[in-house]
Amino acid sequence: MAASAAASDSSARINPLADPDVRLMLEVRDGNAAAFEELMLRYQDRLVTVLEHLVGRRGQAEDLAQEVFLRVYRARDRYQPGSKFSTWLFTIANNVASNALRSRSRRREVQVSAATRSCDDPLTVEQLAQAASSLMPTRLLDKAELRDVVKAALDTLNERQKMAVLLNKFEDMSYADIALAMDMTPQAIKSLLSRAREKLRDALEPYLDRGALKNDHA
Amino acid sequence: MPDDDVLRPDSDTGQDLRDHDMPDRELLVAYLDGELDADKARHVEQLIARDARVESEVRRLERAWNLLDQLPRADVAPSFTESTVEMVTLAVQEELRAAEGQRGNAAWSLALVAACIVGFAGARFWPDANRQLLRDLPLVDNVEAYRQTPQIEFLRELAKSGAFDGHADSTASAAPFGERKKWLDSLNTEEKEDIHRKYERFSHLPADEQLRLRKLEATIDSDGDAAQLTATLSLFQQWLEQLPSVERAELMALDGEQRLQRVKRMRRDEARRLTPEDLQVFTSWFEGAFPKVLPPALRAKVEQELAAASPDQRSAIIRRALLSMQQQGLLPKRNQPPRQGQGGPRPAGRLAAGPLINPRPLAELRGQLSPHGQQVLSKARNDAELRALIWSWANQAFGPAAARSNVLALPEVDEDDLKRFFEQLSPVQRTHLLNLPADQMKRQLLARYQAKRAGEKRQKPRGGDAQPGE
Repeated sequence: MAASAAASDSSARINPLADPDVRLMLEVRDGNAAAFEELMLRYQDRLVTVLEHLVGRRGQAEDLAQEVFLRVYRARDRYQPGSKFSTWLFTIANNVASNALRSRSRRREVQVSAATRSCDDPLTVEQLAQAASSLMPTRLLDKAELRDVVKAALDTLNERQKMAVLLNKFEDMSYADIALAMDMTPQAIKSLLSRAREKLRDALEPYLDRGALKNDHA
Repeated sequence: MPDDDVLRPDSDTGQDLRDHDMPDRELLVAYLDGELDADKARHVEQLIARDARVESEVRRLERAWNLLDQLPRADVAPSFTESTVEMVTLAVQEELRAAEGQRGNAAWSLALVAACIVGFAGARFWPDANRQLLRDLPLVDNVEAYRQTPQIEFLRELAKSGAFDGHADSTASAAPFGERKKWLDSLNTEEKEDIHRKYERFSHLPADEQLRLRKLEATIDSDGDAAQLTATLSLFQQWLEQLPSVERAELMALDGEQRLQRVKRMRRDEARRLTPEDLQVFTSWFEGAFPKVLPPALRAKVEQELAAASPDQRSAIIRRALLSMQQQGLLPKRNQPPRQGQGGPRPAGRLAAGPLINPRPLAELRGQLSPHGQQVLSKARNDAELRALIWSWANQAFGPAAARSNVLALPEVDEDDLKRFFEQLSPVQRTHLLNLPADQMKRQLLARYQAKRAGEKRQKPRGGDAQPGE
C-alpha cells in the first residue's frame, strides 16, 4: 500500500542543483553542447512515450519531441534552475502538445462534420465498452489485447487528464511538479487525477477481476 | 487557466461520481499516490481497515492504475538523436546568421534540414535494395565524410593541409562492384550492423542530397589524385565518427570555408593535446600560476581557497574561477559558435595571460614536460600562439570534459549489471555505442542504463498490490 509522504513541495524546488540534469542543463547554458546531447539521450524515449500517448501518433510525437528539444536549446541562455529539469522539460512539452492538439482540433472544425467518430476524440465509457465487447473480458486476454484495452481506456480521458496521468504514472512526478508543468494548482491536479482515475477504473472495470493475462494464468 | 475538470461533474459521463457513503475519493487517490502527510495517511488506513467497501474501492483504483503498466514505451532509433541534434544546431546557427542579417544560405540549409526530417519520418523502399546498397557502398561507408564535403576542392585542401596524414585502413567497400558482395559477406555481425546504420542514414537523406553525394563520389573517382583523396576521405570519416554528434552537426552548419578552417583547427588542437602525464604536470603548474592573471579581488579569494583546499578540491576551485571568467566575458565559452568571418583561432577573451607566458614560469613548465610536450610548446611562434596554447591546455585540464568525470559522474553501477544491460540492447543500439570513443561510449551506456533503471522505478506501483489495511 502507498507510503505516506509530504506532498507540499518537491525537493528539487528547494535545491534544484541536487538534480544532476539541472547541472547538465547549466553546462548547456555555459556552452557545452555535448551536455545537450546527453540530456537528449536521457529524455528522448521518455518524452516520445508521453507525447505519443498524448497525440496518438508516433510520427507526430517524434516531431513534437524535436520541437521540445529545440525550445530547450533556444532557451539555454535564459535558463535559471527553479525546479527539477524534468519538470521544466515537461512544461515545455505540455505547451507544445497543447498547441499541436489545438491546431489539430481547429483543422477538424473546418472539415465537413464526419458521421463517424474521429480517432482523435476521447472515447466515452460507453463507446469503450462497445469497442471492447469483442474482446470478451470473460476469456483470458493476451498482452496485445490487454494493451489495446488499456490504450482505449486512456483515450477516455480528456487532454489535461491524460497529461496529468502520464506525468504521474510514467514520470513519477508529484502533484506539485505536475502543477508546475501544467500551470495549475496542486489542489487542481489532485482533483484532476482523482477524476481521471475514476474514469480509468470505470473503463477498466470488466478487466480488474476477470481479465487476467494468459501468461499470468498459466 | 480555467479549471473546468475540477469544478464540473464528469464531463464525459455527466454523472457526479462522488458517492456520499464513501470518503472523499480525492483523499483515497492522494493516499495511493503517496501525497498525504503521515496523519492523513494513517486516517485513510484506519478507514480501509474498518470498511470493506473502502478497501475494495482503493484496491480497484489501484489495480486499474497498475494496468497502465501495459502501455507501450517508446525506444527511439539512434537516427532520431542524430537528426534532432542536427536540426537544433542548424536552427541555432540560423538564428545567429539572422541576427547578423545574413539569411541567404542559412534559409536554404534550414529547408534542407526540414526536408531531411520529413525523409526521416517516412520509409523508403527501393526495388532492389541490396543491389542499390552494393552500388552505393563506398558512399554509404563514408557517409559522414561525404556529407561534410561540399565539393572536391574541400577534400583537396584537407589533403594538402596534412590534417589527415597517415595510413588509412584498406576500405574494401571501395572495391570494384563485383567484389563488394563478397566483402559484405565477410563482415562480422557488428560490422554489418554498422554498415546497416550508415545505410539507413544515407537512405534517409533527401533525394537532392543523395544525388549530390553520388556526383561527388564520381568526381573524386575520376580525379588524378583519386587515391590520395580517397585516403583522406576515409581518415576524415574515421575522425568524424569519433566526434560527438553535436560537434558533427556544428561542423555541418558552417559553410565550406569555415568548416575547412574549423576541421584544420580541431586537428591542430588535437595534435597539441597533452598526454595524461603532461596533463598532470600542467594542472599542478597552472594551479600555481593561474591566480596571478585574475582581477585582484578574485585573485585574493581564489588564493585563499586554494591554500585551504585538498588536492581534489583545488581543481574544482580553478574550474569555478575559469567559469566565472567565462560568464564575465573575460574568457570565451567552450563550443561557442563562431561568428561569421571568424575562421581562425578563437580569441582568448580579454583576460591577459601575460603572467602565464613570462619566461620564468614558462621555463618551469617546460622543464617538467615530456619531450612531446616540450616540442608542442616550442612550436608556438609568438605570444599570441603561446597564450592560445596555454588556454587550450587549461580547457583540457579544467573544462567541462574534465569536470564531467567527477562533477557530473553518474552513480557507480555493478559492472555485471551493465554488461547484461548492454547485451539486452538492440543490435543497432549496440553498434551505435561500439562506434563511439571508449569514454563517450561508457557515458552513453551509463546514461541509457540509468534512464532504464529510472523508468523501471517509475513503473513500480508505489503501493504494490498488498491487501489494504495489512
